[in-house]
Amino acid sequence: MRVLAQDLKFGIRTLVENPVFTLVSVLALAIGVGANSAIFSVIDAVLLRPLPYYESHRLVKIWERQPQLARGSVAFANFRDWKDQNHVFEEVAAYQTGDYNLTSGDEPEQIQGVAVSSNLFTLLHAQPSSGNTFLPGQENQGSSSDVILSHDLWANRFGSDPSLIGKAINIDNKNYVVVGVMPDKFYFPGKQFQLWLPLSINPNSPMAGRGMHYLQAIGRLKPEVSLEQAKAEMDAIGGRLEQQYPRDNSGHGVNVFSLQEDSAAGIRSSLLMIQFVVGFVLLIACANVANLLLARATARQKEIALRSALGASRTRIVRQLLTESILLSLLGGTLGLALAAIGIRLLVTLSPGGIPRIEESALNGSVVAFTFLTALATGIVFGLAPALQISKPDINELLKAGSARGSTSAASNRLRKLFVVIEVALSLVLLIGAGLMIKSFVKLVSVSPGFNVENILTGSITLPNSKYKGSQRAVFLQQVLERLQTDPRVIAAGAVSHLPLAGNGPSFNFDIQGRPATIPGQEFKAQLRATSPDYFRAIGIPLLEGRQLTVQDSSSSPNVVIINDVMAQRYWPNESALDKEISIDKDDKGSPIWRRIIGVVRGVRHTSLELQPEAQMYTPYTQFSMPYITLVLHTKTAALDLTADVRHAVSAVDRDQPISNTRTMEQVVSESTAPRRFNMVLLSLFAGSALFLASIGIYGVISYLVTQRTREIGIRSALGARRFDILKLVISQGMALALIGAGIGLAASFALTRTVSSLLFSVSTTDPLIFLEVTGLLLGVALLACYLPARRATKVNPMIALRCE
Amino acid sequence: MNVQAEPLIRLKDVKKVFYTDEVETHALSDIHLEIRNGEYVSIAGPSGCGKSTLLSILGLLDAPTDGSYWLNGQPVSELSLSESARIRNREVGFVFQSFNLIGDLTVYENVELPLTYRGMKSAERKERVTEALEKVGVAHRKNHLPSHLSGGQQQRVAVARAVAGRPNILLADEPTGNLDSSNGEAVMELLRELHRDGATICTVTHDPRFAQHADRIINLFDGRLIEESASRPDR
Repeated sequence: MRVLAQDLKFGIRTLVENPVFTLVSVLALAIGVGANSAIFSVIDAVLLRPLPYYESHRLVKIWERQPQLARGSVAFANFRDWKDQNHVFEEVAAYQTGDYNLTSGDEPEQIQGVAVSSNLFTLLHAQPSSGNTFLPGQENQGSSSDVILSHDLWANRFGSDPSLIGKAINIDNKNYVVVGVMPDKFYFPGKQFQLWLPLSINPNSPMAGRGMHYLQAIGRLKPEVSLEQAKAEMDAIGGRLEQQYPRDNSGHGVNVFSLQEDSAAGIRSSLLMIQFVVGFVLLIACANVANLLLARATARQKEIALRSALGASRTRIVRQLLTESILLSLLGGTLGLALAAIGIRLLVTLSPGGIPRIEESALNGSVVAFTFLTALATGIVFGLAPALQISKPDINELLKAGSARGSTSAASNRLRKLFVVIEVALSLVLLIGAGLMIKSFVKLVSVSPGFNVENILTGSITLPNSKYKGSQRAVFLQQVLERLQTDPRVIAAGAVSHLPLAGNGPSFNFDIQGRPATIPGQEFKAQLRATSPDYFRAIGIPLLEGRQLTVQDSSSSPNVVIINDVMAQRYWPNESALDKEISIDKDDKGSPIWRRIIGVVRGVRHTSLELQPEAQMYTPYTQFSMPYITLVLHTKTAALDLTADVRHAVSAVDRDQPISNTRTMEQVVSESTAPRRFNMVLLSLFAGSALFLASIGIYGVISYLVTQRTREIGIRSALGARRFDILKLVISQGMALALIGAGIGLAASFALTRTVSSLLFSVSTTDPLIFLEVTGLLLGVALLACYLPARRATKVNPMIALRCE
Repeated sequence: MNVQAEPLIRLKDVKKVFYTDEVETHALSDIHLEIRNGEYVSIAGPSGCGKSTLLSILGLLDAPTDGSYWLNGQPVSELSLSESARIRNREVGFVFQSFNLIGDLTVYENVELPLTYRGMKSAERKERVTEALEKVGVAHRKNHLPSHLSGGQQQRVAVARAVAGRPNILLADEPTGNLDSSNGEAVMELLRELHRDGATICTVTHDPRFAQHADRIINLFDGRLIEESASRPDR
């Protein structure tokens, strides 16, 4: 213990006596450790920390596997069969998320809520902070009117009124009795959902069948059942249902995932990729510090030789040196923790919506432990090689009186050069990764979505079924649009049920008049959107053939539909689609309702900018209404200036009707690319740090070598070497290392960039231009890092050759 | 001996002052010196008298603070760094006390080094290097690193490097300072041989025995040239 204290004391003194060395090393380590800790805190919050439910490891998400879709929504009848036939779950519950209009209070507000089967809270083992949860079987009553509120909704909207339990509030123009309020930290399935209603499904309606897929399902495994067992049994049940109901279930099965894994399924690979990247940054930082230690070791050779001469064993010397490097790494870790705190805040701010629990990222015990363990391991990793290297001094040679300064062994120089090669190789891998992501992103944002994005304001309305049915929706919409169209700042006002790039909309199977009925699995299918007549003009989707919808296309006129060019070419490849008839639904007697194609518009990218336009069809709201409306206004002035006017127009028609998510189309497009932008920014940031560290590494080593070769440079100058000769000498030495590193980095990049192929858009993982440009950039920075010490070398006075006499 | 009328080196009123903090050190004062082609001159004097400073000015490693210097009829006291390097490479050959061979290069590469700065073709370099190594008697060690040679052999290699470029003048700064007496004697004999073959040589030495090898001895004291004398005829 006394020896350790001695080592620590000496280590601290050594670090204090070398402030520049200490500062540079601590900074490099802090960047590496801090980046790792920040990313780890996100991974901890999103992937590792158990979900806040009782024995959450037993919770699973159950999806209906559909052709080309691993996570498909569930049909009610299938859910009911899963529930009845399984032996692996303690409980299985279904739920459906949606938007609800809350009109109790001053301002109507659209909030997100969940219709849940009554056993959901039992399944989660969740108790309300006041009141009760739902009674068993409540969802089967078909007209249940109880509601449970989140703590936030209760506090913010109802002022934490304790007497609210038992009172009615108005949701979607219907009174619901508040039966419970959930505790402060409770959420399900996400934090944005603020109320829970019983899932009311009429067993005789089509919603209870196997053809309508709209539910999500969750289960709690029995204590003795493993996830694999559950998967096997649900697979068997899925297979049986497929055989029993081929018309609806052909190609369908069941997928079971742990709830924790499922909740972060979309972000998991990105986060792990980023963690991998920051691991690289840390390695580069380690190589840098190891190099600095090696350089300093030369200056300390005499001291080490003296210690050896005085009887210190090699182990004792290595321990002393390791104590110093660990001390250094702990300092780096401490500063890294501070950088991580800033980094976490940045990550949370920059993160795109939809990363579950990212806001819980914090410097908690796990992150602090991770940081210090990383720092400790780092200290050993970068300290060991130099310590072993200099713990074998040639005592006799070094202690000779005339030995003015230490000489560096060839092994030490090789090690130092090896570190530089590694740094360059790792940096190049990261830079190429970042380059590919940047090029991907640039290509993505330059893709034309197929519509206009400038000066367009959008806002969402969900009309409650309880208040607006069928033609009432179209009337409401018509009145709102009429008001907006009178505004001189509005060029065109339209509406669509599902806005492009703002989330998935429904796809419908359809029949074509005169063609035989399709067989299961090979149906005609297209995305369906309900629109107002002026929607295409407002958003700038050009009409290619036929005519636009008009106000004359009413509920009493013949049914019409507009399709896009993708659908036209797919289903009528050699003829015009105009005047053909399709059916997407049936009347009360089960006969198909035929809709005549009156126009063909250009296809737009609906699901995402990455995906080509799919087959799309547009019906007028008057003939196929949906409760979802997104107003689309093409304006003459800045679109957001009209936000209040849109609210007034809606409220003038129905004062209880809220409008939400008011944003420009530019924001919609930008939000649709946010996850990709997030990955790109992070990777670029870390690749930039890697480049910075690597350039410091190259600079440090070359600078050191110049110092070491000062006399040689003096001799060369004395023999007639010109400035150019000296520059060439020094730069070629550094660039040789950079070139070897770049060669290794290029080979590694060819192998590793394949792993990010899923994150790229329209760019090959071996894009030659990116490989070339990024390698050029790296070599350019390396050249600069070599040039600075080389320039210093040219200033070496040739007299040095004589002065050393 | 081929002594011509036009001096190879001419110094006029050369001064060298070093400034450190507030101290002004006059290393050389009012130096007038001429060295003719084919001469063998020895600069002698006690330690700190300015011998090496004078030699470094002669070799264009340093510039005088004041005064003029003509080398081969050309004024060279105010040259740019790169012009100095060019002239140094072509006109001057150096032999240093501690050999100053580059440890990472072989004997051959060390001798070849100044020729590479001249942009000389490889075949010609090879011829010159071989000739120089043979002249000093270490051709058989051409592929060795300097660390594998004795001190005497290393200094021979240094002499070979100095003469390979066929300079107009060979400057030797205490060439025997790091050698034992027999090796020292051998190196001085080598310089004498070169001189007999026509080389112009200027050495710095504080050893009177070796100073006697020269045609002329220049004595320095406190940076001033105090005496010029012809060496003993029995050298």
